[in-house]
Amino acid sequence: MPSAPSSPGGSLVAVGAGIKLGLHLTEETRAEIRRADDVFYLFGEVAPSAWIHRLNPAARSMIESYRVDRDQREIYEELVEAALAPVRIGRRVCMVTYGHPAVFDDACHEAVRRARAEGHRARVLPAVSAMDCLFADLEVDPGRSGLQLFEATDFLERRRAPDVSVPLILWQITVIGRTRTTDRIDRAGLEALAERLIERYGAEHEVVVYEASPFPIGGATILRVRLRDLAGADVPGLASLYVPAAAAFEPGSARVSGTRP
Amino acid sequence: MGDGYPRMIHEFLDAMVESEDIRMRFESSEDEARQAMTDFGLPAEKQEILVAASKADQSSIKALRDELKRETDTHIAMVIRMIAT
Repeated sequence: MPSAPSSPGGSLVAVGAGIKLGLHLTEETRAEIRRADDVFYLFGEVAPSAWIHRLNPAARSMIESYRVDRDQREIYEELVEAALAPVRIGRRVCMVTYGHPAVFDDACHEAVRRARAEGHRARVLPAVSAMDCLFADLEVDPGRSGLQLFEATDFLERRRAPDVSVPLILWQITVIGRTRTTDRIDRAGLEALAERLIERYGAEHEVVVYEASPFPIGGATILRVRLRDLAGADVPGLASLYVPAAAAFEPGSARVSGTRP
Repeated sequence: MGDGYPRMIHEFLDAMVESEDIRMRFESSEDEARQAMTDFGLPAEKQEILVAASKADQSSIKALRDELKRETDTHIAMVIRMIAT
């Protein structure tokens, strides 16, 4: 670890490693990792990880925080404070998480908010998220028919009412209602989700269980199932659910003139 | 004391990230992928884990994850990017 801070005022930058670890980095992110005094990283997999140590030998994994059956908020606090401690003594810190740092990442948002509140420079850089991978792997273009996105617990608890003519993506379908870390998927939550979706889409509607590949080998896990079979499906731990539209949009007479080719 | 194979698989994945040549060999054909792993020193039974995972079959990806974690000391949870709902 370099002994001298890079500037009198500490700073924080939150970046994302993308999903395919080591291969989804932007040049901007690579540069931030390289020039940081301290790098804290959290990936969904233990490998590959050598690339980040090659970019910055001070890189330190936070994976040990993710032991089974810990309160999620306790972990976030640990991650936030680990990143902020060096910032407070004037160091340049880079916080690296997998995917996109601003998407489904309370720890990143809180670290940036707290750093700014304490008078430090803080920013977030864009990265490749699971959604970007899903667009590519399932060849979904949100420009064609729009898109609805919900976190699965939020979808259930707030009884969101999706528009069935617009594709829907639900995130974190394996840990519905959970506030503690786990190493297994929650079948009861998945069942509740399937029941709710069946009310809107019908039991025969085909959905796609999707998990992008974090490894440099192979592609995404793509499992097509009918909603009636979703609760019992072989769902991977980090899966999302893509629900295609159930009904085609009926164009009315309200076309906006001059906006289409 | 472990057998060290999880570490070797970890190192092979690291090498794939670093080397476009290894990635290309892995993607070109199954035989070439096996040869790349043999050159790296991975034994045949461990090569199967990577060959299977490369086909993106759900159980084989899980097998790869399990193998990578086999010699870790702590029981790591799924690192899901949860938000406090």
